[in-house]
Amino acid sequence: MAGSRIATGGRIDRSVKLTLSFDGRKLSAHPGDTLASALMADGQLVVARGFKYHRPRGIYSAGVEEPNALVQLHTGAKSEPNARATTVEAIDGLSATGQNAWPNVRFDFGAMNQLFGPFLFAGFYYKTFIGPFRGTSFWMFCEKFIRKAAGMGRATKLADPDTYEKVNGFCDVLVIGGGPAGISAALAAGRSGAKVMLVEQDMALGGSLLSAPLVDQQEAWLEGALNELQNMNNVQILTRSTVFGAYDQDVYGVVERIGDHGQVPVLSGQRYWQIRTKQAVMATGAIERPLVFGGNDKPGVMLAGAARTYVNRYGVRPGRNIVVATNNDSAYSSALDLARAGAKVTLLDARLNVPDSLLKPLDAAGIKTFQGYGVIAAKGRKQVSAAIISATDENGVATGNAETVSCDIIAISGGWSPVVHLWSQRQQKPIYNESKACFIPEEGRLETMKCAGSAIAVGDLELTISQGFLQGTAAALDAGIKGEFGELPPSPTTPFADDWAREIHPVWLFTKANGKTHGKAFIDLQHDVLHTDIALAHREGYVSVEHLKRYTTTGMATDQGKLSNMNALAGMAELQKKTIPQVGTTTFRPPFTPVTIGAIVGHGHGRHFQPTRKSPIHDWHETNGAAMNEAGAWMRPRYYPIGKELLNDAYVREAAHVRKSVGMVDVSTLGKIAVQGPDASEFLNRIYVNGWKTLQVGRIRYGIMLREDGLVMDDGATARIAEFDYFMTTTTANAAKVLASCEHLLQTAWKDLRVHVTSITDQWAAIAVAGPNSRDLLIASIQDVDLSSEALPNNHFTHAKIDGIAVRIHRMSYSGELAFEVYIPSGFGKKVWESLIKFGEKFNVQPYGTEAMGALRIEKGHVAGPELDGRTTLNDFGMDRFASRKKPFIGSVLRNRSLLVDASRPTLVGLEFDGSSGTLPGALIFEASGPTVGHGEGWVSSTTYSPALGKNIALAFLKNGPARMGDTMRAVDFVGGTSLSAKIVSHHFFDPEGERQNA
Amino acid sequence: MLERHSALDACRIAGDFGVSDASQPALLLSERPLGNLLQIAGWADFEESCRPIVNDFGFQNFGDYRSVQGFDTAECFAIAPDKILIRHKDDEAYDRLCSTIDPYKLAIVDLSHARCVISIAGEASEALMARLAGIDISLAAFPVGDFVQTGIHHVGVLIKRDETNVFEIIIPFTWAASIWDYLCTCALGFGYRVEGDQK
Repeated sequence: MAGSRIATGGRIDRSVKLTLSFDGRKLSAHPGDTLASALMADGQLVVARGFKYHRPRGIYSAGVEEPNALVQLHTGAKSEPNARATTVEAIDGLSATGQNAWPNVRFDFGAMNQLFGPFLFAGFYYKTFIGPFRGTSFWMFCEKFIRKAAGMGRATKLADPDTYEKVNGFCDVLVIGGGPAGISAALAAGRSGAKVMLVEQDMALGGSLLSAPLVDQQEAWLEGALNELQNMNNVQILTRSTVFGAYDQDVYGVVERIGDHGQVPVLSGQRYWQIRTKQAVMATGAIERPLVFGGNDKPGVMLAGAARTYVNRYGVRPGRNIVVATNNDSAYSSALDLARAGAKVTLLDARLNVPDSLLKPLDAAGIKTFQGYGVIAAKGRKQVSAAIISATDENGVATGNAETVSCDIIAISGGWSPVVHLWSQRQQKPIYNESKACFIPEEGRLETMKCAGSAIAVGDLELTISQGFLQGTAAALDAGIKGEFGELPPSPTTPFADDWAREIHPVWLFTKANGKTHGKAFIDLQHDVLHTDIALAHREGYVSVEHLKRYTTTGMATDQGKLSNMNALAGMAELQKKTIPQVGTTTFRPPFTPVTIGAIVGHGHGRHFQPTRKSPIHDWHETNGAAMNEAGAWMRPRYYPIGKELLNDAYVREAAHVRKSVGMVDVSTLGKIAVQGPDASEFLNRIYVNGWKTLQVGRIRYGIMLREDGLVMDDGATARIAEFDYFMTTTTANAAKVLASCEHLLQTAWKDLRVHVTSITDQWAAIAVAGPNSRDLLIASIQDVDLSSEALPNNHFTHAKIDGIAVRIHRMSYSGELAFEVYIPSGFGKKVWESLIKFGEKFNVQPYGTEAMGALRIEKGHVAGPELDGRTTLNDFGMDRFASRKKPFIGSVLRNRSLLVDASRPTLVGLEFDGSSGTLPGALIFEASGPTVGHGEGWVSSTTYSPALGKNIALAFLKNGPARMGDTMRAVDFVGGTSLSAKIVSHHFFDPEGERQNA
Repeated sequence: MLERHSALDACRIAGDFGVSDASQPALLLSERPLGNLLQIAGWADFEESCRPIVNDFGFQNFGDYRSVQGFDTAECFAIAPDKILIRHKDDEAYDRLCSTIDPYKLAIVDLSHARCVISIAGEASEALMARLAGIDISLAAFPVGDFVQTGIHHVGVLIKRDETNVFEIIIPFTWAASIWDYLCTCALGFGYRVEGDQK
């Protein structure tokens, strides 16, 4: 047992006891604890297993950088993998289990992997499993087992019971980080009157001060600053909130954890903020760097700053006998605080010249110090039992005799790495500061992002506070705020050994005298990347740091370079005999810490996955039992079953009824665009292939438009309502595309045209009334309007009233029957539909859905979405004659490209199938006898059973189609596994002369 | 005359929903009558051509692209440099304008059936709006009397602020039921009341 709760101290509420469990074992904790501090207080050293070798692992840090202590939280549907125990707040009843181990992390059969350790080098999987056999099937077979053996937690497949929400936030100054620098920056900006958001990932504000002993002066400063901030109405403070991404246009992604810590009431488990700010202050602090030596992954090896945090914040002493190894000043304060907490402490400093100001307090506390020393190896089977130490040279190579020092904790500090992730996410490269041995942001590079505190290695507490205040002031001024900033708040006395960058000696690896490590030395604890893996990558020719990262996997997963990056870069630089800046650094990308997918999704799942569009008549369809289906964003009636009727019976009945009597279909989904202005006819002339200048008011014309590349974009009918007013319809699917295209042309290429286009799809409901009795039905519904063929021939419209509602009746047919389209203001669409149903009773009118509508149009040979698929030309439909030769139009030049006018292109044909079966769209067409290879001679686009013909038919595109009329071909559906004979016929299956629609 | 059907008729169910520990729910959701909505558009001399029409409705000018020009019976929204919306209660206006405007200079579209209006009121209205649209909804940035054209759940809408805690959202008719459902889901955490028929 290493860790234990000390009797007093810490920032926990000892008056309240909480009970947690880990791997079924009960833990006691207090509010303010984390799962990690509770585990440490309970003396649990082994809390996880390594990714690859399954070596035992302990708690390594006290923050988001934790590489080892990843646990599975909760059970069942709320189960959450890969939670960092160091950031999981202790709440009563919290249950956690270890992961990547069987049966548990204390005894894991997976540890047998260590026997194969010499073979599990970087690139092992690919080198071993790809190549022995041809193809990838062997690798894919092995991959399943490899993924089981290595990995992290398991995500549940149960539906997530938690709720998440998205919120938009706006501010003048976003301060990222609630440490001393961030607090003073927020203070300055807040005083000026700027709208400030202060975001801190921890549960409490204070940053590094929370890891320091409770010193009155510092506490007073923190309390005073927070009181002032909390009393400012213009300052919003978000704790438990991580700025995980920095994006263009000063947008930041933040996840706020609301329900994760047991607070009630809760609106949702997590809240995803999209914050837009004028200025940001990045006060993200720094993360302590590990030192690399043999056995540096053993439970008991941890960061010195973390050890200090456990003592001062959580009242937990990590061990009784502690070796502190460092190359900088900061570990001295850790050593002192650990000694004050009752531990026996030995400090090794890689530097030879350490000032008395650091040594004397340690000496007074009984701490033995060694200068020019380092830890060569950690000893112990499941946990640290001793450190092998030695005098070392400036490169960390042992120069003296190794000594064994008994200990249960080795606390290490290899310097600190400023957290520059967000800076890097803004496409900026940090610069290397030689004297401080770290990458820092380049001041002034980003006009809207200031950096403060340890994020730019500014120095001690006093400097941090003053520099943060100045950056907050600058940010507010740059945001255009001209208020009063007040006096710089008096800083508390600078704590002992506070400036980690002072005289740091950038040694990162400690080896034996022969330059080799004493056993496995880990660069990346999370992905089990060894020091030797870096060397291997170097030997195999990886010269780019980005390639090194991907080859060795260092800096991946939740680590994202927080701990491993600098040591990997240093290793690579040394091997390449370059400096660290010459090697460069990798690019950090969002998220800074893992983000639950649910938080990004918010409410946008299930029925809110996308918005749904409903016709003005939708409620009638639902009430009357229509089987609905999605058509793009729309919900449309597919068919109206009678009794237990299924789709195939229903649509055949509906289509047959239209041919026999009369049916009604809701076509409100058609795109409708008002094209208005003195140049409207010229505009139509340019976007459609056919001419428009002669269309009279009161008439309708069918039109086809092409894309600029000459392929067909859409078709539809347009009515001339008034001299300068056209009512254009588009297909349902292409409505938005056509409108956007029109608007684009008017705003760019044709700014001289006086035309406006306006979507009026929502203004009008539309009902197609089709069938031999359609005219009679309408005559029964309206008063005093002549609908005879003479008064209202095809492609004409008239105005009428149905039950007092003004409507417009277009004489046009999609079904091939005598048909009319009735356009009604949306608010009356349902009522007019009901009226037509009522008036149609004596004609036995029946509603029909999209399936029957499709059957009717296929019988008629009309093209629709499946034919207008962006690959087809006018000629492919046999519509080339439709295009005007007298005028240019969009696509008129490029449609003549040789490829598009090739006579052998697949063209539209009809297929009639033998027997009772039909094929499905997407089937390929092959010769009746011959091989079934390649893409065949064409493809099937639309299929149906034709009640009018009593057989299965299809529309298809076939090479040399017109020349193959009467031939028999095969339609092969590779998905359904069918091959059917079909006769090639004209695509005008039914009433090719149009006698029925012209009746 | 037949009664006008709303896109929200089937989904707007009166009652109290969600969590609320207050006797008065934090949010009141209701549908408001749109009245009549006209879009008037023009070209180079738009303002000059359109001024007599807006004056007839009682407006001195179009306003800017954020401020609603309005009073009890009509509102004017400048939605583009050459385009305005007028929401009004004059049922004869559209026909009258169609017969009087100069079509060489102006184009008029009746959108009276093309939109639905949802009202969001209550102390949590600003918080709810922040969950719906990516716009700065704070009173300083979006004062009473302002409007904005933006998107809610990918659908283009026009939002206006009638009072500190009262917003109206003008939504395309065919999307309205889906947006109503979405905003009810977002409002659930605050607790909300759906008022009875207000149309």
